Amino acid sequence: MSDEHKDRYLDLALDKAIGDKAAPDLSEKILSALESGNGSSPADQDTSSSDTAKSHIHPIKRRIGIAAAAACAALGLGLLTYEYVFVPDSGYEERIGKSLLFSDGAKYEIRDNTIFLSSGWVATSDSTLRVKAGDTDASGIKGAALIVAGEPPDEAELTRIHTWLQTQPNGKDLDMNYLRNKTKTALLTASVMVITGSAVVDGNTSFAQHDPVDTRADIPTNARYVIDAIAGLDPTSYSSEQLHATTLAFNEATLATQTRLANQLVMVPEEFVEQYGRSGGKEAGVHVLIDRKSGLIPNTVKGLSYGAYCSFAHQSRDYEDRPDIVFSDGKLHCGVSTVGVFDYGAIVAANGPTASKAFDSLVLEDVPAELVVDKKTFKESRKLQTLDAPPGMQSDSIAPEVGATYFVRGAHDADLSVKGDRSKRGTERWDTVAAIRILEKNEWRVTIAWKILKQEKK
Amino acid sequence: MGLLQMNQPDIATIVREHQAGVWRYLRFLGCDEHDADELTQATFIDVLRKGFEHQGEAKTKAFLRSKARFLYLSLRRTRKQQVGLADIEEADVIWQEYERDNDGDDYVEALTRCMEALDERSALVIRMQYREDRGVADISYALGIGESNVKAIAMRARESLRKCIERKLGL
Repeated sequence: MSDEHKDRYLDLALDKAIGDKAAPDLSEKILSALESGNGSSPADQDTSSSDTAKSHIHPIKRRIGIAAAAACAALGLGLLTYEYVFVPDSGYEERIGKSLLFSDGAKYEIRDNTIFLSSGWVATSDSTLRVKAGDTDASGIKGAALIVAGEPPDEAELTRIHTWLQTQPNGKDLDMNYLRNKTKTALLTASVMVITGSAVVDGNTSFAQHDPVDTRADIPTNARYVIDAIAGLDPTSYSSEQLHATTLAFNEATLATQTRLANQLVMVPEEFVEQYGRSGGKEAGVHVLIDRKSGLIPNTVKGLSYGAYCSFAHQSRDYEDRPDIVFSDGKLHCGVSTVGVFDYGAIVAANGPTASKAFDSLVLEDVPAELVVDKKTFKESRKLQTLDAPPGMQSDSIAPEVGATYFVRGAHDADLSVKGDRSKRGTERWDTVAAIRILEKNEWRVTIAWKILKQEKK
Repeated sequence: MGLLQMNQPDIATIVREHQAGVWRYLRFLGCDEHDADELTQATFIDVLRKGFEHQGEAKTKAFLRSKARFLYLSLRRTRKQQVGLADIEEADVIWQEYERDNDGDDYVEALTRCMEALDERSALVIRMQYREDRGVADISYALGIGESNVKAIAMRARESLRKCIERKLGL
């Protein structure tokens, strides 16, 4: 306990010294509460018990003193305030055993639509309740999740959870062995295990992994079109065994999860690989792009953070490799202009008889000799080039339609990488025109087949 | 203890001078910010309702602290969350050791000096946590290291800071 308190004191001091966060000034709130509490019985002000005090007390405090002495204050303003503030929410009892299952002896409180779990565990399928256990915060539960404050459930408790799961959405067929194995690994380093569906854990969306954790995700033989990096690894350079054997900075369970996530999120559907993937060599490919605003990418899996980007010139998904397009807010954007190096971007629809003109409008336009780069401020800017494209067809972004084809032109100076990393700098200047075809899409991903039509490296 | 007497600060002064200390003490005991806000208010209301005789800064602080402690324990009991009295007493000893008679200014000063002794990466993680309010996942992403590494760095940094501070304070 003493260490816990020493830690808390250090936290407070760090907040003050580093975070410049002082304790809140509650003075006015307290004084106002004092004043309003006594103002409710003004008649009692004349019943002051001390003339001496009355003559020296500030009007506010005099009223306080008077009220304190008054019989009507017997209940105690402090106590009233206390009870008013701390009455817990009610109405959750009927959910226990249904959408909520607590461990025996679990210590918790439910208020403000939040379960504050201080010990034990709770299994919940209640999407309306947030769960806080220590520093962990779980919400938006779509399916079922297990949150622990302390020790993970033992075998008997797992049996209880498994029985409960049979009554929950998507939990009926969940295997006890899976539950057993999953809790052993997932709860070693985390306080939350998403059993089915998904949940927002500490601000990031986490998904359930329905396969037993000791079943490795197989990297298929055609994995060339899998995202370029999984946990910093190129999965195509490693056998499945090597991939799983290495730990890097991750433990085995995490890596397995990441591989599985990669499969879920960025594996190109097989039929598209077959149809488009193998024909074009380095000048063509198929990629799945994840909407960078979907919440699925940031901080979820190291290596997937680049899943929204695609550089045709560099055959890369790396944000730092000057991507030609990015999928964001449901749109494909070109001329990714994070630091001004990709300002020269344009995209046009390429359907029907206008295709040739659209293509020409992109190709014939000269790239300015000097691309504008504000190296000092890295200021974000986008400069849509005015091209001679058919009216309404040219843009710096489009809402992709399945089956449609678009031309994209991306030109960038390699003088500066996105993050200003000198090691990434080069001397090349790329000018690329590519055609992309939208193979499929949903609200958070789009699969494209792309082919470079014209490319100059200067 | 009667109503407010002559030659003592008025209520507004007492509240303004001590509310931050009471709030910090409640946070130190384990309250979240919301509970600390409400219990700080309840502490002053309770104390001032019953009348309060100012007998010096140290005694005022101790009195307010004991009232805040009582309300905190009551709250825990209401929520069926037990805290051992021995733990609370031990916590109070730590509080007084760290606070001294200057509201913890010595501690904060020692902390500032100890921060300078931290290695660059540890100091960066601490600053990202406390100055920028960034979570472990965010820091992990920004620094390109695993979340478990971030946690380990932060834990070691805090331990190092704690030892350094206690050394400087002669504890």
